[in-house]
Amino acid sequence: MKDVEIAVDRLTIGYGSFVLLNELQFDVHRGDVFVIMGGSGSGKSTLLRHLMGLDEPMGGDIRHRGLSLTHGTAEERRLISRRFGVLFQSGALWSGMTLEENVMLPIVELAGLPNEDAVTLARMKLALVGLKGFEHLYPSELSGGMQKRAALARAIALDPELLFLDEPSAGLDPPTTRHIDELILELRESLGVTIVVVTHEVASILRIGTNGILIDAATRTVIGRGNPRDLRSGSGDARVREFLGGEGAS
Amino acid sequence: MEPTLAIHRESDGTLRLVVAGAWRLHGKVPASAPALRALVERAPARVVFDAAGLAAWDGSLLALAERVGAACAARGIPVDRSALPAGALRLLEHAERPAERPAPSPVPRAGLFARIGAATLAAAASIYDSLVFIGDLARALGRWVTGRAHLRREDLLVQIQMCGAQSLGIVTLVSFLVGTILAFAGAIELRVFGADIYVADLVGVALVRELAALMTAFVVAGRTGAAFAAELGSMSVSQELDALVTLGISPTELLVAPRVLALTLMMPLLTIYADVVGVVGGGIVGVSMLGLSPELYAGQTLKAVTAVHLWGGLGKAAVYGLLVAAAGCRHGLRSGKSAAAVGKAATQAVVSGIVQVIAACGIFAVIFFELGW
Repeated sequence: MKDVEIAVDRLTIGYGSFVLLNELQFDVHRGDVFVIMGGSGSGKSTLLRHLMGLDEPMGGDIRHRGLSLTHGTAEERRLISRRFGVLFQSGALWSGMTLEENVMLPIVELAGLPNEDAVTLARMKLALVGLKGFEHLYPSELSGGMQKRAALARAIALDPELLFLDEPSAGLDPPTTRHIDELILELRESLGVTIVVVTHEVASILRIGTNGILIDAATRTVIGRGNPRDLRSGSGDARVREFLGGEGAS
Repeated sequence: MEPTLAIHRESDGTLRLVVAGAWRLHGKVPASAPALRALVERAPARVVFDAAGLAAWDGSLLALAERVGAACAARGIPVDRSALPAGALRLLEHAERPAERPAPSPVPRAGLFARIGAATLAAAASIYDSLVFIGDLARALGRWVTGRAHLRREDLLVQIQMCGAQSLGIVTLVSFLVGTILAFAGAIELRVFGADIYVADLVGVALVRELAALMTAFVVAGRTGAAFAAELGSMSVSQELDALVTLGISPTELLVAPRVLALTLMMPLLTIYADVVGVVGGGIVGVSMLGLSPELYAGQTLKAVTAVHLWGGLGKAAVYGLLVAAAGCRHGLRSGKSAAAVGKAATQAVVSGIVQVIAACGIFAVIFFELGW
């Protein structure tokens, strides 16, 4: 059994008094590509924000390698978040900086590399996402898909142990989506990165997912868990099979 | 385990780069500069990486391999990276794939004349754009007057509340202080001539005729003009304006007209309020510091301030409101598509609003002088 990277224990999340997801219980294991699946509005991105400690849950606990993100001190939370790389749904690139500067910033601020090596590394990260030669451009000069890729380059700038990806393939064409999926698998293979992905792109889910949960907006809880390929063919719940386009899906 | 980089020059001309320990970005890793210097000082026959002692690695090792690889490629020196971990080799290969489409080349810096020309064209475009905006706004207001505009009454009321009632606090503070400052400044000179009572004339006329409207316009430019620009700029970033255009609804009618109307209507009311608060501020100085009675001060103020002063001041206030609102909305509508562009639009709205108000104040001064008001 692989080590537990994130343990989610009876997690309840919502807004005000509205409960969005109730008493979630699951583990993300080290080296997993863990996919959070669900329809639009089911609370996938909100759950991801909670896993990153950006929002406070209504109840329950989230532990990263045993340290509580929910009840930990500010310093503990900061130490936990230093291990993250995050790709936000909108990209969230800093608009006043070029792509190279966007990727350079975390390297210069947090890594112990000399400046010239930091530049090389930033360019390499951009090359990894297919943006070689675009370093001098500003985010506003790029298409939405290219912004997403640049944001992924920033997310992997420091080779994080844990990578959170919110809709990495939204707005990308199929070849680019495949390219990004290959890169995700390569990062997992080469560096042992644990990856938590929010997506509803079934092709991508089946290509990269090694484990995951399917959340249901109606019941506000998890209705399927496990390897997405296994769930597609073997889940006892027709809603899960339907979501993943497996046998018996309408 | 401390990361190390050892450089060995072997008898057959090989430069061996021995990497060992844990190469982690969050730790202190050796710089690639010594390896590059070794390449430059005496070109080796080939470069070989040795990673037998490597305990852990990440992007810091890739940066070294990439820099050395690029330097060798530029000098035609063969590199053997096969001893590096398989994952590192795959990532290097991934990064070295050509981009699927060519990247645009950086735009070369233009010459002096080209830059002057570009600036002139940009200024001309800005003037043209302002004229288009004024035309759009006039048309929208005309359609509102004739009841044909897409203008929501709720939006107008919300804007009236924001421009009017919610500005009272800051207008109170500023106009009260301006009234007291004027009274103090006037008292110093007027006391010399034993003409303390004329402090009431100075404060009353200066505020009602010029300063109340001007100071209120400055406050409103900083508060409301900037808010208009930021709000419309954010809507531009999130494509809300595009959504209106594609529905065939003019953003000028739906968004700009209520803001301009609200501020144009509220500025005279705020100015009347500022007149009163400023005169009270001056009166407090006159009564408490100069020993004037409140009745005397009030009577002298009413004698000095004429209807022409009052209506002139209110007319100016309405124009200032129009100018500040139009500047805020124009810069917001024309904002770029980034967070920085929204900030820039807000700044431009404030600066341009204040400059236009001062220019209009100067024009009014000349007109009023010529008319003998």
